[in-house]
Order: sequence, then structure tokens, then C-alpha cells
Amino acid sequence: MNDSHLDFTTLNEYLDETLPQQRRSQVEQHLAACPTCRRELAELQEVFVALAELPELPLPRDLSDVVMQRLHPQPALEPAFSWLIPAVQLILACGLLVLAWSLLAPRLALETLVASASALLLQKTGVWTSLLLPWQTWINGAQAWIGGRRLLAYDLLPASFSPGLAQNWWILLLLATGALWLAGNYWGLAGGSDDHLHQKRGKQ
Amino acid sequence: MSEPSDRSLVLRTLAGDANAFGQLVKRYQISVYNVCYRMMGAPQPAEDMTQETFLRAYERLQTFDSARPFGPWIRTVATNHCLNALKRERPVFVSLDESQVQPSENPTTDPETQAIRREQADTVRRAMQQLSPAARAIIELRHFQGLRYEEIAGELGLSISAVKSRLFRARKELAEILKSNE
Repeated sequence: MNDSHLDFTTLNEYLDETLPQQRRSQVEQHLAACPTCRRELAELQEVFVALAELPELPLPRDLSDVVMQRLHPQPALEPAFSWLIPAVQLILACGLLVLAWSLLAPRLALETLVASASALLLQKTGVWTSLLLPWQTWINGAQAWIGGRRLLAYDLLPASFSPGLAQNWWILLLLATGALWLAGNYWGLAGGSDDHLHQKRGKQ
Repeated sequence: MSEPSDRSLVLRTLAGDANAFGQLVKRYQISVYNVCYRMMGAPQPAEDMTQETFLRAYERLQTFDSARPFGPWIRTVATNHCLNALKRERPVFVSLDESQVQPSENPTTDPETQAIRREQADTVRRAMQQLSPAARAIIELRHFQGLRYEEIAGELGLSISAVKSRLFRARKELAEILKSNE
């Protein structure tokens, strides 16, 4: 019996359970009597066990949103209309500044607006642009902003602490913040988010 | 409320309901990722191929027989997609040690046992990466997806005898690699 050992194909088919029943019985009989073939089978079986025991890995992140985004990209505005959102935001920002001006014009000097613009430029385009404005204008504007006086601690307190001047100061601050926010969005959009490019480029 | 069946999600996707396909992605992304990981051998390529598999599956959904189970189909798509990608690319060895991906462990298992299991799993994954992509695909389809010889032959465009010969050879190689690593 041991003169003809089971070949590798037979051992594989035995483990794959693809042998006909009669042949399977013959193989089992042979294995019972042949330690060489049993050892061969055991070695092969180790591969089966190693593969069967390979654990499943966790997914590092949920891919469903990415896949769906790649399948159905957010409808980007056509190039012809891509200016629309920033333009509307810019108009709103300007509108808020005009509103602020109209509310406070009787009390504030022209330098106020200059100071606001200077602060905006300083924040959004960096120090160098703001330096283009005369330094004294900036100082004057800041002083006018708080009513022609030097900045004192109580000017920063809520209106209830300083009715009159401080109230206007807070209105202006609120409106200017809104304007800055809208303008910031404008620059953000105009600067160009390239998310859509990533999406179009897809994974390399 | 019970979860919708795969079949109903496939039919809803075909009817134009994009969210239905999103649910299928959520349902099968882990198993597809694991197929891709076994084929590609590293997390980032596996993640990329998982995405690509679902995109391809979406394109080919019209050809899918919705009477058949979706899971085996998408995993077969993943295997084939990885195999084709590997054939196109030059082989790049990525060390599994660098991957930093660990299987989810049973929290009750002690750290030493966890470490041993992790090492064993890494050894098997490394051994698989030493096989040719075609051999890896056959191992994947037979051992992890449980396809029969005839089904593997159909998927890979091979004769049954070629599948058997390649499968048995791949196992022999794996056995030798694992033995040399002991």
C-alpha cells in the first residue's frame, strides 16, 4: 500500500472535499495506514488552518460617504455662475458696512470707515497692505471710532455700563464682525477650495 | 423596523435611489476591505481598491443578477479588480509592520495571546504577499470566499484543471513559506 503514496493533487482534493465518496474512503483507508501521507496531509492542513484563522481587520474609516461622494459629486456651480455666491456675499458685506455707516454717521468721522477698512485689510491681506494707509489715519480712525477719545477700559464694557457712546460702539462691532465674516467667506471662496479637484482627480 | 434586504437595496439603486447603494456600501465595506487587504497587502492600497470596487460595482450593477446574493458578488468583483490592478502595476513591497493595522481583538484575551495571534496573522499575510497576484487571487477565492473550482475557473477565465494546478501549487508555496518562518 505504501509503495504508492497519495499524490499532492489527491491530498488537496481530499481537503477540498471534492473527491467522490468511494475515492474518499480509499484515501482515508490509506491515510490510516501510511504515516508519510498523514504527515503530508498534516502539513497541507496547516495552510488551511492558518488561512481560516486569519482575523478580519477593522476598516480604518467609514468609506461609504467617500464612495457616495465620488459617485454623485455635489453639483458644482457651472463656471458661468461660479461668481454668484461670492458676489452675493460681497454685496451683503458692503451692505452691512453701509448700514453701520448710516446708523453711526452723525457721530463718527470719516476716519471710522477708514479704520474699519484698514482693520479688514490687515486681517485679510496681511500687514503690508495696511501699511499703505497712513499710520496717523489709522490712529485717528481708531480714536474716532471710540468717539474722539483715547481708548479707555470702560469703552469695552457693555452698553449698560456706558449708555450713549458704548452702545454705538457695540452696534458697530457687531455689524463689522458680520461684515468681516462675510468678507472672509468671500476671500475663502475666491481663494478657491480645491476639494472638487480632489474629487474629480479621484484616487491615484 | 427590519433592515432592507440586499436585493431590495440593489433594486432601489437600479431605480435611481442613490442612498440605497450607500447602505450596501456600509454593509459590505469591511468584508470588501479585507479582500482588498489580503490581495494588496497594505492598508492604503486596500482602502483605495475598496472604493474602486464599489464604484465599479455601481457601474456594473445592471449586469448583476439580483436573485443572487450580493456579498459574494461584490467580493469577487473586489478580487478581480485587485488582481487586474496588481497585474498592471509593478510590484511594490509594503512592510506589514509599517501598516499599523491591528485586527480587532477580543478584549478578554490576554495581551500575550493577542500578541502571538497578531504575529501569526502577520506571518500568514506576509506569506500571501510572496505569492504571485494570480496565486493570491485563487487562494482568496477558494479559501476566503469559498468558491468551487468551476466558479473560480469562471471568474478568472481559466480551465478547471488550470485552477486546480495553480491552487495546489499556491498552497504548496504557502506551506513552504510558513514552514521556513517557523
